[in-house]
Amino acid sequence: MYRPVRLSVYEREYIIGGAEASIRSDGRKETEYRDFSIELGVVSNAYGSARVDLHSDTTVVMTAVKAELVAPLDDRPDEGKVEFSVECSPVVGPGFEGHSSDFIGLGITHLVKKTFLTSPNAFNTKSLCVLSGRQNWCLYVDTLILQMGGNLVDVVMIAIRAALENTRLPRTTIVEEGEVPEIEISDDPTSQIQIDTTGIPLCVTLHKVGIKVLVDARRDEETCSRACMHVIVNQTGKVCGMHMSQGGSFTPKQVLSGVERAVLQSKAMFESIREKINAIDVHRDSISIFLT
Amino acid sequence: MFRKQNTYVKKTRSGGILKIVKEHYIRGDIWCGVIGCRECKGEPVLDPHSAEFNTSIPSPYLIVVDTNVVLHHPDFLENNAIHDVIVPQSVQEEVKHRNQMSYKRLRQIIDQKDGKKRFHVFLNKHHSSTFSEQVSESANDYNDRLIRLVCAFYQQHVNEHATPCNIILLSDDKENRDKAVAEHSIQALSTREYIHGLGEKHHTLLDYLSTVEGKDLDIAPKTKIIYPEYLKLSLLKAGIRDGNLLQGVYEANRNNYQEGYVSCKINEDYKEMLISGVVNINRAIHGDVVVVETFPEEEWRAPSGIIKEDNTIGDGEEIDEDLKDVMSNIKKTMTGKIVGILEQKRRQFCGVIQYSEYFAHGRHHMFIPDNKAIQKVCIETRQIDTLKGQRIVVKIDTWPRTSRYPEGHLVRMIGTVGDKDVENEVIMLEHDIIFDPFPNSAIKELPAVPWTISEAEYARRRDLRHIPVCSVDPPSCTDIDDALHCIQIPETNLVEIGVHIADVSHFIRPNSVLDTEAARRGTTVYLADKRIDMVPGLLSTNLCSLREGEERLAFSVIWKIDPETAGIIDTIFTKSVIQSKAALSYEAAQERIDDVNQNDVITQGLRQLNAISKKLKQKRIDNGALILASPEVRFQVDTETHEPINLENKKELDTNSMVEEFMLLANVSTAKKTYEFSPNCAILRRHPEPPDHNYKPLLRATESRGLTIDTSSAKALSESLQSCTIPNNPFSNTLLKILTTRCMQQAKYFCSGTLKKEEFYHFGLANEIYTHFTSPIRRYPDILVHRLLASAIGVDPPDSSLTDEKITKERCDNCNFRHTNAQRVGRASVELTTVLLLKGKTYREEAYVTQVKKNAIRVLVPKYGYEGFVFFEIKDTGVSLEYNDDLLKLTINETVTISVFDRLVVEIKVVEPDVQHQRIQLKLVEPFIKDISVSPTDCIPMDTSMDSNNNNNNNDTESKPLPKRFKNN
Repeated sequence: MYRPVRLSVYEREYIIGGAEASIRSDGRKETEYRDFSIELGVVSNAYGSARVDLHSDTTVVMTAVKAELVAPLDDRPDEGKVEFSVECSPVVGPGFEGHSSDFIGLGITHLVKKTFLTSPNAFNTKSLCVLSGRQNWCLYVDTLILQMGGNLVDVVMIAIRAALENTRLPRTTIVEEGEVPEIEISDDPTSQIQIDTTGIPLCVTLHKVGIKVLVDARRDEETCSRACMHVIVNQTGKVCGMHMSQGGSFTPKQVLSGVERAVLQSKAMFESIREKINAIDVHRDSISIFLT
Repeated sequence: MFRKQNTYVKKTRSGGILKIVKEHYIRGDIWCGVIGCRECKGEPVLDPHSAEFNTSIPSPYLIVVDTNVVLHHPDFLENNAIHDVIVPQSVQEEVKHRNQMSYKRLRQIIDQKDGKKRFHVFLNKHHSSTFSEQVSESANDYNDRLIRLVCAFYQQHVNEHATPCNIILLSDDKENRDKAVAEHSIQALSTREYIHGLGEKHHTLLDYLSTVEGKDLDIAPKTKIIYPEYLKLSLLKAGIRDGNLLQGVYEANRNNYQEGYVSCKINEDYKEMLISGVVNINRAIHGDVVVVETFPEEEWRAPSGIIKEDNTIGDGEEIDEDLKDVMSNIKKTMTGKIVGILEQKRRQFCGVIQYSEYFAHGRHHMFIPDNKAIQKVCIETRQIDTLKGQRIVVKIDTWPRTSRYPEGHLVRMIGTVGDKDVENEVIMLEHDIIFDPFPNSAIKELPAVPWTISEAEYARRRDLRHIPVCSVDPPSCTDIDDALHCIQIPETNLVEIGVHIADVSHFIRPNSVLDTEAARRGTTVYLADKRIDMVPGLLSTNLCSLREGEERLAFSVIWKIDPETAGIIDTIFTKSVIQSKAALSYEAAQERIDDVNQNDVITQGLRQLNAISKKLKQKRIDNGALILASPEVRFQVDTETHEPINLENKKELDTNSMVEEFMLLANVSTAKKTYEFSPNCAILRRHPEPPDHNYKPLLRATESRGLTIDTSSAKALSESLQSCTIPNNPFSNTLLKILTTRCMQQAKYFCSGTLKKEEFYHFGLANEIYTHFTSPIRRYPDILVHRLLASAIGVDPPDSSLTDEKITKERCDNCNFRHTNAQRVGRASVELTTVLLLKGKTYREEAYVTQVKKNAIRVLVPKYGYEGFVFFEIKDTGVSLEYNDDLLKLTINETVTISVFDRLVVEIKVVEPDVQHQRIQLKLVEPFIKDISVSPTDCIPMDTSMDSNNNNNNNDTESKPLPKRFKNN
């Protein structure tokens, strides 16, 4: 889920020692999250998109949602589909060209898929039904990692939620004349369907550095981490899943307090996302860019 | 300047959904185009001060049009009284989107740079003051709002930066007008209000308005609905898919407006479905692609067999009465009704106004199209006095369910009825003939005159200038495209026969403007007194015409032939240079052959050719070639006035058939050679064997007279035709041949790759393979065949389009279409000329019955080649008619019986029920029937008037050549 950076023995000592003394190299506390910013509608030909930027030692992730009408599965005629993919862009750095960084994207893709599979309330696929048994929406949620500054999984989940929030599907009407009903698409650009995103969870990743458990680890901290735990929490504060990546172990106490912390942390994040998106919506009309 | 992104979602044909994003740039410096504007830098066009005086708005003013005005009233906008118009870009785009034709016409007006129309397209979607995004409103409302914004912008702009003037919005949408007044205090007028304001002299403009406008708003509930509603498109499509409904082209019965046919495809087989009664026809117009519903079998009907001369659609009761009449019949066929129209093939129609004193002061008048298959059209006009007696062009706009007739509007006037040029134009328009002059770019491609053959051409061609070549054509033919020669090959008993065809493809190079133009025209069109060339006159009558004594380029086919058996020993194709030694007429050639005192080399050649041609013809007949007949006539035309003076039937001389035989031989040899060279892309001509049911009318007619015609094979048919005749009726054999011709299918050009080899067969000529090679001056396929043959013998590299099956197929289709049209227009022209010739005269002529109907008989007058109906009025005369459908007999007053092939005497004259109608009327003279026949007392002796006419005019007439048409090809 991350790629280690090369650290000298002394750097490592400094980070672990600092963490244990509750002093992180950028001055944050162990429970402190970095601030992030959200931009919406960055991919104009997608139905929804978002770019999330985690400040200071930056992580940048971009998610775009595309949609297509597809035939549903036979046993689920009134359900649409959602497909996730996460890829690592070569612009992250010289070491990310070719297929060398595929495993990072694949790892996160698996994690995201697992999250949505194991929490059936995360996404209401029935809301994507257009014409039961014939044609339903299939959403392709594609995420691209542009810069890597640690805590990828959390940022990817924020971007997915923001992009889905931004998604507007064209309104469809079913014309039921003759034998075969046909789907017609409204030509009014203002009449669109928004997707229900209330169930989409976020992830809070906890790293065990030394004996301390840190949230929102940077890349150098991730390199020093002995164990890693992803806690998936939804808007209502319920934990929908937990995953461990890398080896290592947490003490039962650490797990319990970690989950508690994650629930608290996610609450703040949900609020922060809401605020940021609302702030953008206010200025929605001024998307036009002035050229000189 | 700033940029905006426009996004919209589109459904693709395959059902996918695409989101499309377009960048849209908005700026503040788009010019308004008003003359005298101090602000805008662009070229000024609009001049508000030259606006027409209008009582509704004070001058100066400028007009802004909305989309519906452009869509519905293109004829109005094209009028010279309408100028200085602002066309918002959004309107132009919507018009383009909704109707390509209207868009083209709008563009033509805008592109007129002579400074008279002054239409200015204002790019309102890119101007910061007039740009607005679509908010929650329909696309229509959005467009209307954009147009209003344009008006508001202009009003403010001219007030600030130019001489103030009024901006008026021209719109037929009341809501839009009201909003313009309320929101922007812009004056708004409907087109009608605007024209009314222009004053009396422009009131005729109202005629050019389409009837579509505003009609749907005010259907009075009391109006009777006559026609059923069409089914919805999706239901139609589903019905066709499931086979409940059938799709086909509606073809109206030319003789009965209440009846028509739709040929539908049922199980890979084409069947004709009868549509009977105007309600079942349900507003379909001849040529429309319609969807029909089949009636259950017990409701099937038989074709009425009644000829309805006048296509006035009567009241409801009358329709019912006719239906009853139809019901009583026995022989029923598949019947149905039209439930929807998929595609309207409604072009503009030529015709006349029906004028009656009673309605003279009204505005609504009936328009009678010249094409009998088209219903009358109701048009609105204020200039009935100008229009009566004029040929006019009308376009059908709508056919509401409440209206008995389709509604249309005047497009333009052509000229006075009966004027020869006007009538010629009408028949050409009606038959889709291209008769505009050649474009300058094509004329520029012609070689410079005086033209000489270059040395290089001599070098690459075979020099045949010393060979005694001569041409045989109709008298005073100016476009000679074929010539012949025949010489003995020394020291053998073989002869060398050459057919030399004008090398038109030398002048018309592939893909040049001339070539495109010739391809578009497809064929030269021969009217009775006029020729519309396929290639410019310089080529057709001079450089390509194989004139006597002049050196010309030719494409030659040279055979070694055994004169005893007429068998071909060897064939050579070559490009050549020839010098015709004599350009003869058929008569002159015949005289030379018959004159024993002439023994020059040409005459000897002609005799040899004549002898061999007879053997060739016999061979053909033995193979089963048909010798058919068609009533062809030619006119003698006054050299000064170009009015027809007299007409004569085409004479058949030996020399006609001699030329024909060798042309056939050349065509066959070429067909074989080009097919060998290019099996997929050879242009060939086939004549399919007529299906059995085609012979039905002929067999019914012959059986009713006890004659037997064997249609089992071409040879049997040919033989039985030769021997079949009715005693004491010498013309009956010719009549039979004429009727047989009508059973035949049309010969067609095709691309060899598109059909199986067995289908190449030419039925009429009994040839395996056939093409057209011998008349490149007047037929486009021949030019293509020339090119192909040139590449086959390796003198020219093949043009890429020649080896493309798709292009070749398209070319063949076009040539077939043009060829058919040219033939039809030729016949129409003969009929027209006959009318002119007969005008003011009455003749008694021999006539023969070709068809017997319930209330009429169809007769052929051989002298004029004219075929028409003789009606028997039974309504007021008390005459009784008894029709026997099996024996095709009509018994009148229980005394006189008329059956097919009978010889009659009819009175033929041109009647003019009113100024604008002229048609040939036939009335029975012999046998005499009281109350029906013309009284024999005022009998004019047959033929005498004609002869005297002949003698008087012999000195100053010349007979014009009839098109060289070989009967069988």
